[in-house]
Amino acid sequence: MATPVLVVDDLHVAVDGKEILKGVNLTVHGNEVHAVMGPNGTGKTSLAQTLMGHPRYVVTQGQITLDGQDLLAMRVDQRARAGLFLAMQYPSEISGVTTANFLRTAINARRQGNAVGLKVFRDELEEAMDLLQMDHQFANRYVNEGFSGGEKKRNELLQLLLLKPRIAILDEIDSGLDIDAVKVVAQGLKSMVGPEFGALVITHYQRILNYVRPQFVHIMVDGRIVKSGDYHLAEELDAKGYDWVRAAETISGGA
Amino acid sequence: MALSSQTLTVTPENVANHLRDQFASDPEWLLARRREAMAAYFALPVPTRERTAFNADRSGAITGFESAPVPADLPLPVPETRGGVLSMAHDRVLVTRQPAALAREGVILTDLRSACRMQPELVAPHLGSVIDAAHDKSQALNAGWWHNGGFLYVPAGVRVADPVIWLHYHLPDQPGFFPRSLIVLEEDSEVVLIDYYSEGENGSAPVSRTLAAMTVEVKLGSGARLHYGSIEQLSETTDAFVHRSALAGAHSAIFWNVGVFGAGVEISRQSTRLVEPGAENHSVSVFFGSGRQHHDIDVVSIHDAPHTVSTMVGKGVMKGRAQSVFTGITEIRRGARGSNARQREQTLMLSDDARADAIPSLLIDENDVFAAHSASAGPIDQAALFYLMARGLSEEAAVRMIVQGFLAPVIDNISIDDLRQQVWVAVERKVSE
Ligand SMILES: Nc1ncnc2c1ncn2[C@@H]1O[C@H](COP(=O)(O)OP(=O)(O)OP(=O)(O)O)[C@@H](O)[C@H]1O
Ligand SMILES: [Mg+2]
Repeated sequence: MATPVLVVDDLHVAVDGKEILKGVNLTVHGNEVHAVMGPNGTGKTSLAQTLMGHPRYVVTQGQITLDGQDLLAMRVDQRARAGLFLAMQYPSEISGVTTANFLRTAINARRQGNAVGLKVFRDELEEAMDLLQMDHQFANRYVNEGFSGGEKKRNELLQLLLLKPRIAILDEIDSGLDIDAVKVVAQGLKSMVGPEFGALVITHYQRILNYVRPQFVHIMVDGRIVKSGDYHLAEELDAKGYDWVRAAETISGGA
Repeated sequence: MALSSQTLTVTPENVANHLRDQFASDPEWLLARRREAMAAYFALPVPTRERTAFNADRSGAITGFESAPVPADLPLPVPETRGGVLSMAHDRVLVTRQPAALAREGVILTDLRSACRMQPELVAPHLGSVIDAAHDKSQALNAGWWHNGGFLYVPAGVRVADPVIWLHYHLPDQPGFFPRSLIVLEEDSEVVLIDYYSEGENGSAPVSRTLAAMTVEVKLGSGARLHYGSIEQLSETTDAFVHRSALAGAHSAIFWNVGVFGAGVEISRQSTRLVEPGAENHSVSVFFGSGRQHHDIDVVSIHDAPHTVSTMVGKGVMKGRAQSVFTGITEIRRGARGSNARQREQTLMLSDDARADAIPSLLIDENDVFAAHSASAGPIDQAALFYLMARGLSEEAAVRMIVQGFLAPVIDNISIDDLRQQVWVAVERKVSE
C-alpha cells in the first residue's frame, strides 16, 4: 500500500459561530512524526476534532484530504475506516461495554465482514497490552469506566496499536501520564511509525518529544501555525516560552 | 366449545347469556364469578394514568366481543426444553407437555380452565384472591371474559429444575386478548417459569385494533421461591392492560424479570405484597419502545410484615417517538420493622422525540426501615457516540453498542439462561428496527 498523506489546506473552523481556526496548513506523510505545540486555547484540540469530523466544529473554508480523498465529505466512521485515528484528550466512558468487546467490534468494523478470529484477536490484544505494560484485566473492564487519567491515555494507545491506522492524531496523550508511562506510551507510538504510518502529536511537554523525536514541530497561536521547524524548535520553546514566539510573530507582522 | 365468527354486543341485560354461550364448558362456580365480574364491569372506571392518554372511547365502551374460531392444529413454534410446556392461542390449548417426573411429584401444569374443571378444590380458593376484579374495567373484563391461561401448582418441598414455559399467542384476527394465569407454590417449593406473550401467525388478515387485558396471579407459601420471567411482544395495534400480582408468605421470594417490547399503549401494574416476615421481592423490568409505542409501567412493592426485602430495577430505552413512564412504588406499612427496600430506575432516550420518565415513589409508615432509590433519565451521550464512530463504528453500530452497554448490567444478571438470550434477541430486534 502506498504511504499515507494527510493534507490540511487553509483550514478555517468555527464553533458556535466563533472562528477558532484561522487558516491552518499542514501535511503529514507516512514515516513522519509532527508535533503541534501552543498555548492553552489556541485551537489544537479544535484542529484534532475537526480532522476526525466532530459535528460541533464547522469548517468554513479550506480542505482536508487523506490519500487524496476529501475527508470533509466523509462521516466520522468513514474517516476512521479510511485510516484516520484520534487519540482524544478526554476519552469517553462506555458503560456496560468491555474494552475487549469494543476493540473487536472496532477492528471488525474496518474489516468489512471478514471478522478477526477470536484467538488471533486475543493474542494481538495481549501483545499490545504487554507492550504498554497494561494489566490484562483491563480487557474485561468497561471502556474507560473508572479508569484513572493515565489508564485512559494508555487505553487510547492500545486502540491505536490494535486498529493500525494510517495517520494518527494524538491530543495530549502524555497529559496525566507518570514519567515512566510517558516513555512506555512513546515507545508504543514509535513502534508504529513506518512507511505506512504517520502521526501528529499534540503536546505541551518536551518529555514525550524526547522519545518520539518528531521531524517537524509546529507552533500554533490563535488558530494558526505561526512557526514550524525541526526538533530543535521544541527545545528552543522549552527554554524561551511562548512569549518568544508571539514576539517574533509581531515583528514579522503575523504568519 | 363451538366458536364461530361472530360479533357480540354485550349489555348488562344479555351478558349472562353470552357468558354461558362463550364459556359453556366452565363449571357453574366459575360462570358465577364471571357473571359477577361482568355485572360490575359496566360501572367501573377505565384505568387511567396521569401521563398516559388512553383512548377511553375504545376501552370505555367495550361491548362488542368478536371471536373467530381458533383451529386446533395451529403450527405455532414450541420451544425445545426439558421442562414443561403449555402453548395456547386464546381459548385453544395447542400443546400441554408435562414431564412425567413432575407429574409423579404432584406438580400440576395445565391450562387454567381445565384446572377449574378438574381441580376446583386447588383453583377456586386462589383464583381472583390476589387481584381485585372490581378495581377497574380492565380487571373486571379479564375476570369476566378471560379465555384461558396457565395453571401451575407445585406441592410443598418440590423443586422443579428445568424452566416451565408458557406461550400465549394472540392471533391477528382476534380483537380481544384476555389471558389469565395462576401460579400456586406451596411451602418450600421452587420453580422457574417463563411466560411469553407473542403474536401468532395463522394466515388471517389482522384486525385494525386489539384490546388486551392480561392477568397473572401468584401465591407463594412460606419459603417458596418463584423465578418468573416474561417477554411481551404483542403488535403495536394492541392496547394492553397487564396486571401481575403476588402474595408472598414468610421467607418466600419472588424474582420477577419482565421484558416489555410490544403493544401500542401498554398500561401495566406489577404488584407484590410481602404479607409475612422475611418475604422478598426482587423485580427487574426491561422495556424498549419504538415508533409511537407508549409504555406506562407501575411496579409496586408492599411491605406488610417485618424484615421484608424488596429490590426493584427498571431499565428502559425509548427511540423514535416512543414514550415511557416507569413508576416504582415502595410502600412500607406500619409494623414492617427492619424492612429493606431499594429501587433504581434508569432510562435512555435515543431520539429527541422520544420521552422517558422515571418516577420513584416511597411511601413509608414505619421508622425502623432502610429505603433507598435512584432515578435517572437522559439522552444518548453524544460524546460517547462520537468516540465510537471515531473508532470506525457506523452510527447504527455505535448506538447499538451504547444500548447494549446500558442494558447489559441488568440483562446479563438474569439467571434464567433461555430468558436472558430471548431478552437480548428482543432488544436486538428493537435496536435494528
Ligand atoms: N464548544 C465550544 N464552544 C465555545 N468555544 C469553544 C468550544 N470548543 C472550543 N472552544 C474555544 O476554542 C478555543 C480553542 O480551544 P481548543 O480546545 O481547540 O484549544 P487547545 O489549543 O486544545 O487548548 P488546550 O491546550 O488547553 O487543550 C478556546 O478558546 C475554546 O474556549
Ligand atoms: Mg486541547
